[in-house]
Amino acid sequence: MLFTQIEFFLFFAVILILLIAVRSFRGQKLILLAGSYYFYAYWDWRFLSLIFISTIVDFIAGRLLFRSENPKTRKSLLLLSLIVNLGLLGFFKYFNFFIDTAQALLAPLGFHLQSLHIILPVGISFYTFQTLSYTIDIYRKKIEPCSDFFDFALFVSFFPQLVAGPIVRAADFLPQLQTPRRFTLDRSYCGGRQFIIGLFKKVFIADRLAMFVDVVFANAGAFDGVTTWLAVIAYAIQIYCDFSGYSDMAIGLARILGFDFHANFNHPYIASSIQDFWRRWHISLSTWLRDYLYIPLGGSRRGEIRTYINLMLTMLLGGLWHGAAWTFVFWGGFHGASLAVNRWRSEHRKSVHPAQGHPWNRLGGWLLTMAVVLIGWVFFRAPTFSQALAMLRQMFFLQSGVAWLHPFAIFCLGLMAVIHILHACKKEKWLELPLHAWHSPAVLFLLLWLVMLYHPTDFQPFIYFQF
Amino acid sequence: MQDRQSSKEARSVLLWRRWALGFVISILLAWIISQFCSTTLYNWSWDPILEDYVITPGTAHHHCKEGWGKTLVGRHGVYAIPDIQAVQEPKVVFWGDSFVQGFQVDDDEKLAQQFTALQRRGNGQPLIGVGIGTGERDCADYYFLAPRYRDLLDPVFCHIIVLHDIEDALPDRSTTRFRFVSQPEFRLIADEPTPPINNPGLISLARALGMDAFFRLAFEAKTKIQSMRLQPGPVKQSGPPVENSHEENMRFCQQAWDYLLPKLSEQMQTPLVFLYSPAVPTLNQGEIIFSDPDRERFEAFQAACEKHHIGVIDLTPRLKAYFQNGHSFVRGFMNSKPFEGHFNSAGHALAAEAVRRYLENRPHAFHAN
Repeated sequence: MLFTQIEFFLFFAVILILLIAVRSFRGQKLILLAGSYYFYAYWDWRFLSLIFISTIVDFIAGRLLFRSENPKTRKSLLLLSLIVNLGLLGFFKYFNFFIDTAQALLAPLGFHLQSLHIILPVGISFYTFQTLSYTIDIYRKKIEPCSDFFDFALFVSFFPQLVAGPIVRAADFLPQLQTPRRFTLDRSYCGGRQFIIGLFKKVFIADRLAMFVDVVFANAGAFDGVTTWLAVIAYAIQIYCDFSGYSDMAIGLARILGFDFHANFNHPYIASSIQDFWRRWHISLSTWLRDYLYIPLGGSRRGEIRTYINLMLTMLLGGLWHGAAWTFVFWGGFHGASLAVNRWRSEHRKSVHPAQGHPWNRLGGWLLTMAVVLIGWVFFRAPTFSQALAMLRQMFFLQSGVAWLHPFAIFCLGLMAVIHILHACKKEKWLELPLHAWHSPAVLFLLLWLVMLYHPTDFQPFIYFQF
Repeated sequence: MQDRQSSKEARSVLLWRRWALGFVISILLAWIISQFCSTTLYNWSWDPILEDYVITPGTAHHHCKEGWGKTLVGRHGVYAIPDIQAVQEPKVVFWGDSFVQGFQVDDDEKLAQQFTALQRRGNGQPLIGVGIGTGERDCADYYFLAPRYRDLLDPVFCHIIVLHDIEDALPDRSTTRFRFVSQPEFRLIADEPTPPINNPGLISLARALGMDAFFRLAFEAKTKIQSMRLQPGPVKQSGPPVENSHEENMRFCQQAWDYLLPKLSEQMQTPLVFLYSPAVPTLNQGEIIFSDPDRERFEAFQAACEKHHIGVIDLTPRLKAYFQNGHSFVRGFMNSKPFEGHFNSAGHALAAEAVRRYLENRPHAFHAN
C-alpha cells in the first residue's frame, strides 16, 4: 500500500478511529501491529513470512545474547542473526545479480548458470538493517533486549517506516513502546503538516518530474547537452523529493500516532562538501553504515591508508545496498573516492574548510559537491554503464540532439533554488508553517489542492521501494 | 480561572476562524492557478440532425495536458467553424479521431484550418477544410456519420480519413456506438445512442464557475473509490492474449478491408482519400526510429484501397524528410513528450500541405458535387 493511494487514507482513518476507541496502550499497540501486517500484506501477503522469520530469529537471538556471558555463544548467536537476515536479503536481492555476474565471467569457459525468477520483497533492505541493528546493539551491550514479543514485532513492522525507512534504531523506538502515546492537537498538527509537505514533494514534484526524467534517461544520448543537464538536475530534485517526501510522510504519520523519528534529510543540496552531503542525505542509512560497518572496520583509528580503504568499502557496500547492479556499486565507489579525496584534502591542506571560509570558497565547495553528486546520480539512475556514459558525453561535450526544455522541470528548478537559498540565508521561518501563523492553513490547504488537482495519472511507485 | 477559560476559548475560536479563512483562500488560489493550468471540461448535446451526441456548440475548450491549445467548438461537432451551414464553398472534410480534433493546438493550427489557409495562399480552388473528429472514433463512425452530415456539408469536394493507426480500419476495436464487427460475419452496426456523460448539469455548473479542475477531481475520486481494492495482494495478472499467425492476420485484414472499403466509398458518395500518418520518426532507447512497425499491413491496406479506387496519401516519406532536414518531431509537445503523441502545429501543417499537393496533382479526379 502506498501513502498516496486512496486506500491508504481509508486504512489510516480506520487505524486512528480504533486507536481512539481502544483505551489500553497494549490494545493500541496490537492494533498498530495488526495494521502494519495488513499494510504489508496489501502488497503481497506471502512475503509476510520473511518479516515473521526476521522477527522471531532476532527476538530469540536478542534474549539469548543478553542472558549469555560466554563470548563464543554470544558470537554464535550474533552470527546466526547475521546469517538469517543477510541470507534472506542476499537471496532475494542479490542472488540473480551474482549469478548473472558469474555467468558473464564463466560464459567464455563454457559454463552456463541459470538465474531464478525472484520477486524482491518490498522494504527488505530497510527492515533487515533495522533488525540487525537491534541484535548488534544487544551484542555490544548498548541496549537491553525487548521483553515483549509483540512490542518487538511492532518495532520491526511499524507501517509508517516499514517499506522505505527511515531506518529506526531499537534504542530510539522500543522505549517509546513503554509509555502510552499521547494524541494532542500540536502533535497531530505537526505530523499532518509534515505528511502534507511530503505528499506535495512526492506527488506534485517528484512524480511529475519523473515523466521528463524517465524519458531522457531511457533515451540517453538522444537529447542535447542542455536537455541532458536539465534532466540530471531534475532527477536530483526528483529523487530528493521522492525519498525525503516519503520520509516526511512516514515521520508525519508516526508523529500523529504518537511516535517520534529522527529527521532523515537536512537540505542535502546546500552541502559545501561531499562529507557534509552525507551528513544531510538519508541520515538514517549513513549513520547506520557509520555505526555498523565503518567503525567496526576500524574507522579512522587504523592509519591513513586503512581509513581510505574503510571509507571505500563502506560506500561500495552502501551502493550495493541500494540495488543489485554494478552501476550502484560504482555510484557507491564514486562517493567513497570523493569522500577519501575530501578527507585527504582537509587533512593535508591547511586551508580553511569550505564551510567556514570566504563566500567564494564556500561557493566553490558547493559547486564541486554538486558536480560530484550530479555525476553520481547519472550512474545511480542509468540502468547500464553505456547509458550513463552516453548521458555524461551529452553533458560535458554539449552535443547536439533533441531539445526538450520541459517547463515543469524549469519551474521545479526555480522553486528548489528559492527554497534552498532561503534556507542558506536562514530566512525560511515562514516556510516552517507553525500552527498559529496566519498563513499556515492557507499554504497547507493549497499544497493539498495542488496535489489533488495535478497528480499525474500514471502510477509512480516510490523510488526507494526498489531498494 | 474563568478568565483563563474564556481566553482559551477565544484562542480556539480564533484558530478555527483562521483555518476556515485559510481553506477559503486556498480554494481561491487553486482556482486562479487552475484558470491557466487546467484542461477544461465539456458538455455534450443531442444533435437532432446527426441523431447523435456532439460537444455542445459554442464550447471554448482549453487543453493543457499535452500542448496548450484553445478550441472553439462549432455547431454539429465541427471545430473552429461556428456554423458549418453558413459556409457555401466546396469543402474538404477531414474525418478522424483526436488527431483531427486537435485539442492540443489552437484553432488556426489545426489540420483543416491550415489546409484552408494553404489553399487560399496558393490561389487554388476556394476549398474550405472542415475537421470532424472525436477521440476513439474509427472507420465505423465515419461510415454512419457521413450521410447524416451530407446536407450540412454540401457541397463536398472530397473526404479525407486521417488514419494514424491501421487498427482504426479493422473490426472489433470500437468503443463508440458505431461498430465494425467480424463475428459472426463482417458487419457495420449502429447501437442506440447513449449520453457520453452522466452529469451534464454538474459540468455546466463547473464551466460556469470556472471550476473544471475541481469537478474533474470529484469525478476521478468517484472512479477511484469505485475501483478500490481492500483485500491483500498479490493482484492476479492475466496472461498475454493468444495471437493468430501472421498469415492468418493478414488474411483477416484483407477480408475486413474487402468488406469495409467499398461500403465506405459508396457511403461517402464523393471521392475518398485515406491520409496515413504512422508514428514515425520517434525515439526508442536513444535511437531515432524511422521504420513504421505496421508498414506491411499498411502496404496491404494501400493495395486494398487501390483495388477499390480509393486514394491513399502516405505521409511517411514527408515525416522522415521533415525530421532529416533539421526540423524537430511533428508529434509531441514540450509539456508531454516531444517525439510522440498527437500532432503538434508542424504535424498539422505537414499533413495539410500533403493533402493540398495531392489534390493539386489530381485536378481531374476531384470535383465539387
